Amino acid sequence: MKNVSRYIQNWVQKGLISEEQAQKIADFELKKQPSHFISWGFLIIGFMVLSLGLISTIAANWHDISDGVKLTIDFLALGLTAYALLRTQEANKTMLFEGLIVFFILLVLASLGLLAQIYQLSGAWYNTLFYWSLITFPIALFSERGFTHFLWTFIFATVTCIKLAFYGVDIGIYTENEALFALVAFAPLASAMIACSLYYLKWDNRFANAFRFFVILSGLFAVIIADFTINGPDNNLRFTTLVPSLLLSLLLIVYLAVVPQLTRGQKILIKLIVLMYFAMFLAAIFAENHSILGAAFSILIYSLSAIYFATACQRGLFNLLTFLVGVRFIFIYINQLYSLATTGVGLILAGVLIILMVYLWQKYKNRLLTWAEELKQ
Amino acid sequence: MITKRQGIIVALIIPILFLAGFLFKSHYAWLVGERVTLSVHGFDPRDLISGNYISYRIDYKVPSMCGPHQVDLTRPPQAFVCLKPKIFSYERPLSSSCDLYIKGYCRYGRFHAGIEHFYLPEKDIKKIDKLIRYHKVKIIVSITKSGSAVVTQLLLEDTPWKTFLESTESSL
Repeated sequence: MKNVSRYIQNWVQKGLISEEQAQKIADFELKKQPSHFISWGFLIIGFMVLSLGLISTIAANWHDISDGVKLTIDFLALGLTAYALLRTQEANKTMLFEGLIVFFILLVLASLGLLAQIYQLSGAWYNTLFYWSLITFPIALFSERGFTHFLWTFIFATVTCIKLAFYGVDIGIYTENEALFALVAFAPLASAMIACSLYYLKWDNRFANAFRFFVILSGLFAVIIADFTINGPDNNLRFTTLVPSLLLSLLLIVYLAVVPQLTRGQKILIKLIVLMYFAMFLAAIFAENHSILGAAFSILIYSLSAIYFATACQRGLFNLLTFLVGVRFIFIYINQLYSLATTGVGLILAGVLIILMVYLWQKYKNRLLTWAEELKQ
Repeated sequence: MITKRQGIIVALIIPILFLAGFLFKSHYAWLVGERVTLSVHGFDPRDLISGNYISYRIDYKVPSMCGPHQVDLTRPPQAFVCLKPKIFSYERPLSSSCDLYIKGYCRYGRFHAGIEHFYLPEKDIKKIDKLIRYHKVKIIVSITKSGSAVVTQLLLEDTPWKTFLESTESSL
């Protein structure tokens, strides 16, 4: 509030707003609930460390306690946490309620580990996490904080994609390498489909946002992997590896037509990104040792994504992606002129290139941003 | 209409019930299953979230396991090892042709039934890791009529691992 008051005072002095407007802004800011961002962050860290401590205790000292006692303590802990959750919800203690939700869902994971240990069960880790995500979904729905949704979404989306990829291995249509490649290509597209569906249904924006965040994270990872694959030697990947991604890309392009929250310009941008993304993975299968092609696709995808985020008024992501475009340009220089880059002259040229890019960025950033934001219409 | 509080109660009960069901299923296999001793080899000590365990390959002594088969996308990729008589199949064995079988799946030509780990106390894992390299190792598995299996004991030279470890330590 102190900072806001200083700003308001400054704006009044400069004649930008009237005294009456200044008073209204000050009243509005005062009424706003404090975010408790730091306290909440520490509370979540505290509960996470506590849960990890419990998991470690189970992992290290399990044999000193009998199975019956361990199971009793475990189910008692689950019951008590559930009771505490209900009491905190009743008492409207939002922060504690949120912390206890994180603790409860991690305790469920620790319980699965304990049962596997007692009964000597050895299923695949992604299956354990998949079932965990399914049974903890209902309680995650009651969380008001983005962190819980993102934690749940990140684990659910990752393990579901891994499960699907290994299903391809188990039924014999993919080798392990192909399954991993298919998984990397598939994950952002599948998450984008889910995010679009959630936005379309207007069912739960918090999960839609969490899936959207996962699309960005897994998409960036996928582009880096595809870039490396294009740069690398022959990988023996077959076209069938990309069939699920091809189908999803086409489905996503068609599906975008019904998402009401996106403007025409944004839909065109997303379609272009999806097409470039698929073309990049196609190139990763057929091209080898082709550094410029990989860089060209990466820069194109980063640039289109940056324009999209500018149209969505997300300047942070716009800045991040344009930064990645710059980084990729520098890597082209190092890759193409490796022998020169390690000499004194090479370093001078690299330095000049970076300074030039910063200069051009500072000069044209706002113009670019305004142009991109106008595309929204 | 369900209130928020009722919704939270249901959401909290679901995972607890699932865990209770999982516990019941595992304990049932432990209690009522038929005990079979199987030889194991190929060890790999690990340390993951569930604690310290050794992982191994089970020697089912069944010929031509996990060979090529017709891909069927409509069914889960299951496989079955019949122990009486010793036959491998991708189809669930009929009770008339097989007395006891283990349900699992094939990956990279290997059969997995979720019984390929044995958890051990942290303090003993290093000693066991050394011992299993020079001794005959077996596991006792409890198998239900539906093919679910749980490991009940790890044997070193046909002796439970704990007794064997104690006798080795006392002889030193």
